Amino acid sequence: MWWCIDKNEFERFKSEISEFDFFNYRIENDRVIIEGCWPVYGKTSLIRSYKIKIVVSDDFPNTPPAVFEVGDEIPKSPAYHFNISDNSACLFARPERFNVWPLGAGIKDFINGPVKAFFFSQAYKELTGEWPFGEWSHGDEGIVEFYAHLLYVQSLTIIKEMLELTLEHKIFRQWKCPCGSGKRLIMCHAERINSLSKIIPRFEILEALKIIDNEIAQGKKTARLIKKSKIVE
Amino acid sequence: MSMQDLFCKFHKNIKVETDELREKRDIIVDKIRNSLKNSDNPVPELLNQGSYIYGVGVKPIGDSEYDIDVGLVFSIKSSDYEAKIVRKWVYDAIATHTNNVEDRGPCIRVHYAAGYHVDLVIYSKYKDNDSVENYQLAFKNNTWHPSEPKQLKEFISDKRKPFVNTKDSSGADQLQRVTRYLKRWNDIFIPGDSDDKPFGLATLLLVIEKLPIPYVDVNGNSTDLEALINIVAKAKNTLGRIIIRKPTQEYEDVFSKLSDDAMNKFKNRLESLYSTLVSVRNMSDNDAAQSLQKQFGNDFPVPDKKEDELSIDSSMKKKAIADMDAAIPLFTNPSSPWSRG
Repeated sequence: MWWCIDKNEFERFKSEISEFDFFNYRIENDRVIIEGCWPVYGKTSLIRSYKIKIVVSDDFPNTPPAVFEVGDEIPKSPAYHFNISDNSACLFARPERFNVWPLGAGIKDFINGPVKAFFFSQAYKELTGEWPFGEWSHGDEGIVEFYAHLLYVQSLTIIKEMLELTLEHKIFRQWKCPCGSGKRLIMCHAERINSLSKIIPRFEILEALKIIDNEIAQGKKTARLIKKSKIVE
Repeated sequence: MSMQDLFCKFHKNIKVETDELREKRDIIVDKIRNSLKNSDNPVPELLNQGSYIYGVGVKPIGDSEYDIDVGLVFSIKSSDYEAKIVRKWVYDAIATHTNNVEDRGPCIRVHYAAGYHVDLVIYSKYKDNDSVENYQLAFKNNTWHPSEPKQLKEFISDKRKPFVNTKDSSGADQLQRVTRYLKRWNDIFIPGDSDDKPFGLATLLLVIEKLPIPYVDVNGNSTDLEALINIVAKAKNTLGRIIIRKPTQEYEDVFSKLSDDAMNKFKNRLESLYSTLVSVRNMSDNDAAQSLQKQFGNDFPVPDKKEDELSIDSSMKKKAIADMDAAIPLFTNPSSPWSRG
């Protein structure tokens, strides 16, 4: 178990979690479990709260914890972004985790990042019917959308070419940009491709390439660009 | 409950249900026709007219009666008969089965059952050389007056065309609803028959002139309050007397029966109605309804407590959404929800 193996990591965890006075943690069957009422705030006031439970993964912080809404206030269905198999919340598209909770980050960033955004989204959805930061399609489709969003490209073949570039040892900035603009990479998508390769580990990109090949084989040509709405990008 | 919901409920409360009136009308008209058949005089055709044919009938208040307007059309040439003779045919026919008959200016009023009367309007109709139907109305003073009842009906249904998308669940469009509101408003301030009260037709023609197109919100839903404000503003700002001419013969001013004094009072009432209507725009539903009751009477609904609480709920909801909207830009790199699918 991570908390017995890595004493430093556990000390950091304890210190970070103590900053949230509405959360308590306990160890149950060798697992670290956090419980409490998560408050959703607007800019100035408390909107509502959700009773939640966070089950810290056995190899924390490599794998993100699993988050559950236990007050039974949100329907547990994919439409509300809960996984059918275990009713856990689906906070982000799988590779997006590296964008919003990078490797090495602790529980505090996990809670203040994806957990906060997820329950803010749920409360906003309940009030307005809209997802404030958009939503990914379910399954593989959502994963491709995530890359489309990072690269700001819709064509699956171009996304594929760009992802392949991130696997190169060196990108020659004078190469033509795969997006078809006719510009050099440096003047075009180099920045986006570079930051993607810094954030997303190689194994995830290889996984994404498989998914894209599969989608292309099924005749799909483009990915939906989601709107992280109301956010100036 | 929105402002429009309140007006629609008000409309429902004051709207005349025509089925019952139609039944009453048929009974009395049958009686008249039978009596005329038994005499040697010509038998008239029927011409339904009046507020409930135009769909602007309002329930009477207090001791007032429902009135049903029926035209009796004799196929005769008006120059061949004196108006008083033709009126007498009808009068005599009715007198055989009721003595509750009143000979009034343009009509003969038959008091039917409790709470109802039928106004009979007597026409002569003949076709001239061009086969154009000429209608003449028989007045009490033994004169015939040219009249175009069918053209008037057409004029009104024509003017209702732009309002086709504003019909509520009762089938009434904004033009009809607003006319009913103003008719009830007149009844509240001048109950019963009075020369100081504009005719129902005058109110309808006033609305038609001042409201050429419907008032709707961005979603296309009727905003009867705004329509009313618009009509009342235009009417109250008229210099001198409000003059609305009948669109058909004899093109008379339908407000002419009001004395100058009555016209002034009418315009003052419009002024007060206007300030009320404008002031309720920014009030809570409950306060608005209470103000509007002072103009339109107690058939204007006041939302009950529960509905009021709901409106507090909805204003809290609006605040919460605004506060959340303000918080959205504070998320610099928000994740979006997914599911493994």
